[in-house]
Amino acid sequence: MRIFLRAKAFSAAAVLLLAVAGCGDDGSGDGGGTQTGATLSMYAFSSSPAEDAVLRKVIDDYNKLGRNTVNLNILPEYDTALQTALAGGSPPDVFYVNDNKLPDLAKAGTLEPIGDKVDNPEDFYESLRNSFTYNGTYYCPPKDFSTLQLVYNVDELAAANVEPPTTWDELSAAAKALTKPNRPGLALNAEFYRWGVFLAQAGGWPTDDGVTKMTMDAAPVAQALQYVTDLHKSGYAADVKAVGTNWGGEALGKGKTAMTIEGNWIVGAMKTDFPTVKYGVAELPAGPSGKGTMAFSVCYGVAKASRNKAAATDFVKFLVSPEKQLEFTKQFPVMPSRKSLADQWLADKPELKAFVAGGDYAKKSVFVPGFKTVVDTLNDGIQGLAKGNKPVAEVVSSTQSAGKDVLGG
Amino acid sequence: MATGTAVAAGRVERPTAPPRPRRRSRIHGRQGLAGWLFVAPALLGLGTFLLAPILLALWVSFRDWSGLAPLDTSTAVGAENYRDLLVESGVVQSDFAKSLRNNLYYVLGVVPAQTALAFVLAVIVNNKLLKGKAFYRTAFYFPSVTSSIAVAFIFIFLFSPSGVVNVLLSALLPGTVETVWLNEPTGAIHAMLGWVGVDSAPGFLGDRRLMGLSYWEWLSGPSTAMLSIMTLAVWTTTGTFMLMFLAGLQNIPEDVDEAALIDGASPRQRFFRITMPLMRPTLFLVLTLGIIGTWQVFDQIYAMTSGGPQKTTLTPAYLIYREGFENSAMGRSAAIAFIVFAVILVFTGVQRWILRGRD
Repeated sequence: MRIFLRAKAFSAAAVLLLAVAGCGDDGSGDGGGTQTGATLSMYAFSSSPAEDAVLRKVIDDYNKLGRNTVNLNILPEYDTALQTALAGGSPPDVFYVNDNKLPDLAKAGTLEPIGDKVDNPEDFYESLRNSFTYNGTYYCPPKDFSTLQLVYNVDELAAANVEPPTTWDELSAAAKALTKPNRPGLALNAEFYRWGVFLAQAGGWPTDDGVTKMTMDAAPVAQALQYVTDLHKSGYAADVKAVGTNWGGEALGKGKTAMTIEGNWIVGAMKTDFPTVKYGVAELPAGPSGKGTMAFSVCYGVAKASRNKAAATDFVKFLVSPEKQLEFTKQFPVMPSRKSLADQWLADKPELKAFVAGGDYAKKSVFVPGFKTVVDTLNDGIQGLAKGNKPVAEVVSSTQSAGKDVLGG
Repeated sequence: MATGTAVAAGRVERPTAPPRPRRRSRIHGRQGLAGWLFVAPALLGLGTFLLAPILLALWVSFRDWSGLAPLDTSTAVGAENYRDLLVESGVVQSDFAKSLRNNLYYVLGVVPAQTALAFVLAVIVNNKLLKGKAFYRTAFYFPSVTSSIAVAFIFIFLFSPSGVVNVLLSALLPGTVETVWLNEPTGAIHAMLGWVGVDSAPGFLGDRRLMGLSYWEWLSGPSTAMLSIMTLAVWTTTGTFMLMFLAGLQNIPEDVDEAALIDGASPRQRFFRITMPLMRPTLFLVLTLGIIGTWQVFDQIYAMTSGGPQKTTLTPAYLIYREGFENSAMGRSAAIAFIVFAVILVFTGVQRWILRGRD
């Protein structure tokens, strides 16, 4: 019944959106407006109340400069709100873009490429610039970023006399030593956005660098999947869901594991939910092909349909200027996307060094439009591997063929 | 009165009729205009919020639209969205097939269970001798007025490894039960076949495929995760349908029952020969609403499993959301919606045919 209502509500929303679409202005006609004197709207999603406050302050600083006035909208259900605004043809001038949404947005022609218009664009980590590049165009400067690394319980490792592992063999040994009856030494979400780090460490990846063809059937991929599967089979590693938690931070905090693989966001969660658990962050162990991890980021996009593109670009330049970026990231676990700021950011939180180090070798976690289906298929397979009811070969072949459906060839 | 005379006169004086039809039509025309004016607000509402969106969605289903730019940026692709879903083998088709399979088991499980349970509860609550009727009615109806998302979260806790369900089962059964209900992809039918030693597809089932899924995969049965969600669905919707049955039961004239009593019918005969046939319209309503609702299951999936584990709780409604909002394939999303619409029509039609009056 409720679904029925929801469907109705959805159709109502759709028609409104379409009605608006009719009157929309694609904005491509004018030259982008002047650099000053504009009123800009910005859409953002909320990471935490503290971060919202800092964002508001940074925007106040900009407004005080008197160049333009920015109105900030922090939205729940951000993706839907943004999508509706874009489809209606009157998007906000500036908005957050999640890296995994970039290919879709770029393909739909909704973004103005401003990546290279900010000061010193080479300062941003290369993998992040890659995340926001589609078909050779670098669209928007990254706001900040996170990487995945090994997060462990300091006391448990000390008690078991285990050092944070630096190779796959050491990881297996450490996981084994930390495993207790009915409790794995390592717990991680059974999904590509965690298991992918092992693929990178083995030198494999679902696609080639340009995301033009599938490379799931390359030997390193199978080797990596087999390694993690074996860890699960022996009981030294497990899916976080299998220990009754939703993600690695919860598993670590509740003592359901001694090690997990998570990103910078774990810092805030541990502080608020499990303040007594002493944890450390180490770089993930190196695999046959060296170190490997994945980066996740958000950028400041400028709408192609904006009437004030020049002013919006000026505002984004301000946001990603070194001083403002440092101010924006200093108190938070997410890292500045400018390499030059790493040391200053680390000054008061040296314990997070491993996350920063990942910036140098992280793989972008972004593919092409329509690839979500493929990632879902791979996740489906990884869940099967963690559960022990699917062979590696089947996961490789099903993902490979799903990817071919999307990429062609 | 004036109209009446005009009509009567019109029949007689046909040759001089010309001015009259005009007068007639003016009067009728005015009435017609007034009528249209009176229904205009409703029609406008229906047109804007019902007809237009449906037609637009139908149009979108024949286009390639990301949903991220105004609709005029979309391109016509003919029936490609439908072909990808129904004919062309590939991941799109197999995902859709999985969602249909999952939802089919969901419908087959939830609709009979909630209907039977609702009917039994209604008969109990309708009992004249029962005390505290109001309390039971409220208690049974309560889940239906609770937010489905809130209920879903409560069920997540109930079905968690250390949740109430496992605690209860551990107390009742030997050993400790540590099932991770919402993360268990094995299908019920597969599991049962496993008990009798059939672990993998017998050749004839494994090789043949329908919409990209082997017959063996079609016959998996609902996964444990799906069964948990089905339990939740039955629990939340039973109350609503109980209320409908209750209204139906109270509509049965007492004298019919008394007449049967005087004729010497036993309670059982009265129930099966009098009550049940008279309840057929209500049963039809409950089944129809049940089928429509269950083919559109979304909230619980969204809150509890997001289609996992291993795509065993993927449903067409969730796929519509995933394709439209996460995969930026609004055209495909709309096409799924129309196929589900057709499925619902077929199911309702079949059920109507089965329940048709035999008299």
